[in-house]
Order: sequence, then C-alpha cells, then structure tokens
Amino acid sequence: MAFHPLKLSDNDLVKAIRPGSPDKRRAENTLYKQFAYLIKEGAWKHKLTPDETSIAYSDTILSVIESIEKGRYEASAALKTYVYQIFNNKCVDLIRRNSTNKAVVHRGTSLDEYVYEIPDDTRGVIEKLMQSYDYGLLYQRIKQLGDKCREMIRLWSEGTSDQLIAGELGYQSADVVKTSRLRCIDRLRALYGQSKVK
Amino acid sequence: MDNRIEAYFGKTLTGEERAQFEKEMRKNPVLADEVAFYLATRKAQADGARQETLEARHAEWQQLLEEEAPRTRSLWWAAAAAVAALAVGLAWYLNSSGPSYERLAHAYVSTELQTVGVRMDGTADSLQLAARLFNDGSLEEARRVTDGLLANDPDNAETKKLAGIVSLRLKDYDKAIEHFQQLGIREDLFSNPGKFYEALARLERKVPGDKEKAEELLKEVVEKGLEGKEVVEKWDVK
Repeated sequence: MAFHPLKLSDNDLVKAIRPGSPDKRRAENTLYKQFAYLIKEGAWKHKLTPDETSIAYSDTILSVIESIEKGRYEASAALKTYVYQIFNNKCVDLIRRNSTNKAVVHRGTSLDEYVYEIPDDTRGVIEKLMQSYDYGLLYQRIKQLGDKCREMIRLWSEGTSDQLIAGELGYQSADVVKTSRLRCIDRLRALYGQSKVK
Repeated sequence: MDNRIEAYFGKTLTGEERAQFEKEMRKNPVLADEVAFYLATRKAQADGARQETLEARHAEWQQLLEEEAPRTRSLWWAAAAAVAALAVGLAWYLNSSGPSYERLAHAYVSTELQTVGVRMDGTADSLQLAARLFNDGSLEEARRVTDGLLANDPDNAETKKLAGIVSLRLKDYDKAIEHFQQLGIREDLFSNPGKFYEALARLERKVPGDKEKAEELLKEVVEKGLEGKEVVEKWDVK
C-alpha cells in the first residue's frame, strides 16, 4: 500500500522502516526529511558549520534506522525526541573530536561487545594497541582479500553467527569458519604489515 | 594467530583456560597484540562499511533536500494550519483527561531518560562504556556492564543510578526499584535522585500500592528538596 509521507505517525513510520517492508526506502527518506530542520538548529546551537551538522544529521538518521532494524527503538519514546537526542550526542562527539583531534578507539560504530569481554585491567592495554592500527588502511586491505575472506569478515563484523556464516559461504561447520577466519586475519596482517613497511 | 582467541571471544574456553588466557594476555605482548589486531579487524570492517553507507545515504539525502526546497515554501501555509490544528487537539486532550502522575512519569521516562551524560574527555572506563551503550540503545549490553561493575563495587552510586535507569528502560521495574531504593537511602551523596526515580519506576510498574507509594515519595522529594523537586513542582497534579 502506498502512503503519503506527511500522514505517517511515528508508529507507521517505524513499521515501514523495519526490515522487509516494501516502503522501507521511502519511509527512511521521509524520516530524514521530517527532522531536517535540525541541521540549521544544530549549527546555531553547537557553533558547528552547516556541512558538519548536515553529516551529523545523516549519521543520526542512519543510527535511528539501524536501531529500528535491530529492534532497539522503543515506541514509548517519541521519534522526534529520540532523533533529537542522538543528533545532540553526535554534535557533542563532533565538538570533542574537533577540540581534541584525538582518534578515539570507539570512533564510528560503538565499541564492539567483544572488547568488554576483556577484563578491565587488560582492556586499556588492548585498546591502546588497537589505536595503533590505521583503521582506514586496514579496511582497504580487507577489501584486497579474496572474496570468501572478505565476505566472512563482513558477516562476522555484522554479528552473524558462525553457523549461519558456514551455511552462507559453504563451509562444513562453524568450527571450520573459526579456523578459516583466523587464517584470513593472518593473511590480512601480512598484507597490512607489507603496506606499513613501504 | 593464537587459536584460543576465537574460543575466548566465542566463550568456549573452560573457566580455567579462560583465566590462563587472560593471565597470558596481560603478560605476553605478542598475544595482546594478536588480540588487538583481531578486534581492530572487526572494528575496521564495521566502521568502514558504515562510513561507506553513510556517505552514499548522505549524498542521496542532500539531493532529496535540494529537490524538495521549492515545494517546501508552498507547503509552509499548510504546515502552519496543521500545527494550529494539532495545538487545538492537544489542548482539548489535556483539558479532557487532565495530567496524572502516571502519564507525566511515563512521558518523563520516554523523553528524559533516553540518554545519559557521557564525559567529554573520550575516556573509556567501564561506566562510560555502559553509558555509551545505553545511549546507543544497547540496553542488554549496558546492563551486563553495570552488573559487572556492581559485582566489584556495589556501593558506587553512579553505577547504581545507571543500573537503575537501564533496568527501567528494559521495563524490569522490580530491579529498577531495587537499585533506586538502595540509592535513595544513601545520605552521603551531594545529589541523590534515588527517591524520584523510584517513584517513576513505581508509576511505570503500576502494581497495587505503587501509585500511593510513588505519591509519598514525590511528596518527600518536594518537601526535602531532593533531586527531581523542580520537575515534580512543574507537574502540578491536583
């Protein structure tokens, strides 16, 4: 069923953004347009440039879409409030990054759940070591791996279970996936090491 | 790369093996670096893929705004009329039903307790991590971190407060009330929202007796000038 963007309630909009909805893309665009006035407001309030708040706003909408897709958005919060608060946090993050110029390890996506498996007394050391890697370069090198390794790392980073990865990529079992992943990471490490030496 | 890394993060090591692995991770820089590279790979992929998606969507949305600009002006008057109609509707709704503590508490939890403050210095201790997870909507993960912190330091008021808020948002009202009660009885804190938050949790839980107890707590908050007083005074419930 087609819908008119201006007539959508929060509930309808959220439903239309959930995975599998035929109107997903259109609903996402409606969501973007609905609160786009925040771009100007944010620039004024946080003393950021319109370009900066514009990207922070796109980032916000993407985060809201991801939250809806993962079932993290609770209907009890008005969508406007939810968008506003995430946008505010993104602007504050931007100010912090501008003022410290520090590449913190939890830049981009939030800290991986794996990181806090590590005990508190060791996590700091591991995070420091993680920060020593160039994430942009690492991502370029991942793209240079073979199709299977690249796909395996992509699915793994999205939180897909090893059982599903095995099914999708034609491995015999989840155990084979684990062993193969370590080999892929070894290969990536060699590739990354070569580029750092040059 | 050490095969145990997969087993460690896949949680398939025995307790003893896990402890041994963590001990080695502390002492062996080679193993620590392998773990760091393993995690950096996962994060680089997640960040890189998201950045690409963001750039593509940002470009698409910018285009959308440019196309919409001329239409927006002609829609202004229609929008103004819609806003006026909404205002009339809202006024009617508030007049006909009147504010109640339950509705106001629900609105407060839905709007004011969606995010919590994080420090601006980029530190990554566990409490900050829990706060960031909470703000990202990863409530179960935030709960795991606060539970872990409270196991080691059960008297930490900041952790207790966040643990209560996380439970409240997860609709685990019994647990939220337990945290807030423990916080509320503390007399050594400069600012203590325990009783106010306990009242909110009770108004959300709605079991018999909760409303009365919540009203008592809110009265106490106002009389003793506790945190939340200004909010309760603005509610103006007769």
